[in-house]
Amino acid sequence: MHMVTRLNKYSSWLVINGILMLLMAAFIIPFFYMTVGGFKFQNEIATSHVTLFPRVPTLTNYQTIFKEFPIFRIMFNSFFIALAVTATNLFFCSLAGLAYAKFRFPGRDKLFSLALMTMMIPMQAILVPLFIIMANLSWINTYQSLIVPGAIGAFGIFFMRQYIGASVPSDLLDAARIDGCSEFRVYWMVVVPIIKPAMVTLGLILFMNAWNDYLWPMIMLNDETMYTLSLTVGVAGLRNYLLNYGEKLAAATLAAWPPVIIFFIFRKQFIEAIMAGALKGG
Amino acid sequence: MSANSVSNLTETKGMKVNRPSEAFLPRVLKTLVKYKTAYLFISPFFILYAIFGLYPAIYSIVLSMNDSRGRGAWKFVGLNNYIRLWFHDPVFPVTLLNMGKYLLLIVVPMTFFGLLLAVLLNTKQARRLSGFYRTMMILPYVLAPTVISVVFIQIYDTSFGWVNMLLGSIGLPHIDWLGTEKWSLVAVSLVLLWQFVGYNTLIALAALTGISPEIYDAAKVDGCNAFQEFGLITLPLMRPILLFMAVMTTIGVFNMFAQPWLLTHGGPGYSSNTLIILLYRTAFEIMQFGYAAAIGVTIFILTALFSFLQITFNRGFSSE
Repeated sequence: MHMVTRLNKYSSWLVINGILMLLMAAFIIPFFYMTVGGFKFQNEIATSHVTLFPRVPTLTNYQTIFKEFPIFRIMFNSFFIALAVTATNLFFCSLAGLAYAKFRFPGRDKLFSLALMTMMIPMQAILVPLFIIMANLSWINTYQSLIVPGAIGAFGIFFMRQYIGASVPSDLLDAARIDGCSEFRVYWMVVVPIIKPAMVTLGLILFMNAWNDYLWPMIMLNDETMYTLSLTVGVAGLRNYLLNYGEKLAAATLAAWPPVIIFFIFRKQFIEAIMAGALKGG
Repeated sequence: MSANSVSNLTETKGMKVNRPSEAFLPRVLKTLVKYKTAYLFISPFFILYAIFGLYPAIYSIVLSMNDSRGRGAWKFVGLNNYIRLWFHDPVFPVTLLNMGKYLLLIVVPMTFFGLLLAVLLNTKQARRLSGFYRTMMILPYVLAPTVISVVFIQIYDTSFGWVNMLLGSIGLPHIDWLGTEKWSLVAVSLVLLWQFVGYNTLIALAALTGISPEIYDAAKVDGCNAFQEFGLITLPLMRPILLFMAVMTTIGVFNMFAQPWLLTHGGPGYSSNTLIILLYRTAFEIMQFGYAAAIGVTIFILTALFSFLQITFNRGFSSE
């Protein structure tokens, strides 16, 4: 009897983890395919004879990508735009979050609801007028066209208000005020140090979204020196209507690894952020 | 800052506004000045949104009632753009039907598999490796749609794609996933499922771990088996979060652009076309801004309607 339950225990362990491991393989294989494929020659990719690792590793694909695109400039663009959007959001959203969580003023709750309601209108629905506005401002092919419209988001305000409301004691704010701190100094010296973990979490999500964005950058940017990595992947590896698979994968690898590395460093916070968002949303 | 204005900002002090004797404008001004720090802190969002959200939204509605092509002059046409879209455009009904198929092929499996995977991850057998599983399944969520599309175009390839190799190895015929009208929409849906199911699993898992173990202990005492436990406890308690997942996925599907655009350009024909692709092509390939604005407004109304329906449906369902 004892043996049977032990056996059942092992087999159920094996079944559940077996299923999960198979699924994990499905999640990871495309990523693996991309990373090794960038080092393969065209004829090794486009063949029915599958190889896992490159038989003859080559850097040709990367050399071509670096020759055909100003990759360092493009990398800078991607980092600059994503960091700028992240920084402005973190600053303005935490300021607003502090006001909504800790200050008392007429219309506070109504204004907060109003801010949340703006999330209802997706950016895609106002794509055309937004494009016309940008064209009229002569902002096409500029950094600001990608940074300014998304500089402050309602989600960030919501996120910060929740966190500040739960983690910053009101007494501490009062104490700093009695010491003669201005409201901004209270924010900077008292609130910011406390909410650093939330800033990391929100910052990660903002950075990834900005880094991976496609539709808006595609409409705004048509000069190669202004491209982001995400956009470059779309146009790389195409010459004379011939598709070079290895070059495509090499470009994709360049675009994929920076956020993936950041994700692995902060995976705990990132996963917590998603799970925390779920509890609030539900 | 003076002691008086400081106390105005604290939680404990009550509000003293709305004296009816004063006129509206001076009263508003007085309030603004009195609570200037608070209004200053929250104003950047509203200023920015007024310029890049509200103004384009109003602009969109006005533009949608005009005939506007490229740099040409506007001509007021009333609701003609909407009439053309709903009754005369041959592509719109196909696209709308596609959206229905996408909703069916993405929202339902996403919610189902999200819950299923979360239940698997929450078993005590999987607990030790849970951190590893979570990390791996959220990885696709971190990747850009361009990256994902580049990889899947190759993985779906008819002659050397790994998906077809797998099918071939078990004796099934190769399928031109992205190149045939029969399969393109399914193939695009599978990519989105692959990308976002891990994200939805984590959301479901968060809710699942929040259910008190005492409820399950009580059920065990009452002699419930695992399936009864799931049907009688887990599912009812998970309903709000499952609805949340379904609504978020629905909104995502209605605003889908990058993956279908990069994988198939909405084709072959219009077999995997989406509303945003239709909008994009109308605006930036044939430059009919007025018509494209009408499509944008329609997308917004449809999204709002569907989210509302899902919420109402669920409410009616749970009150039975």
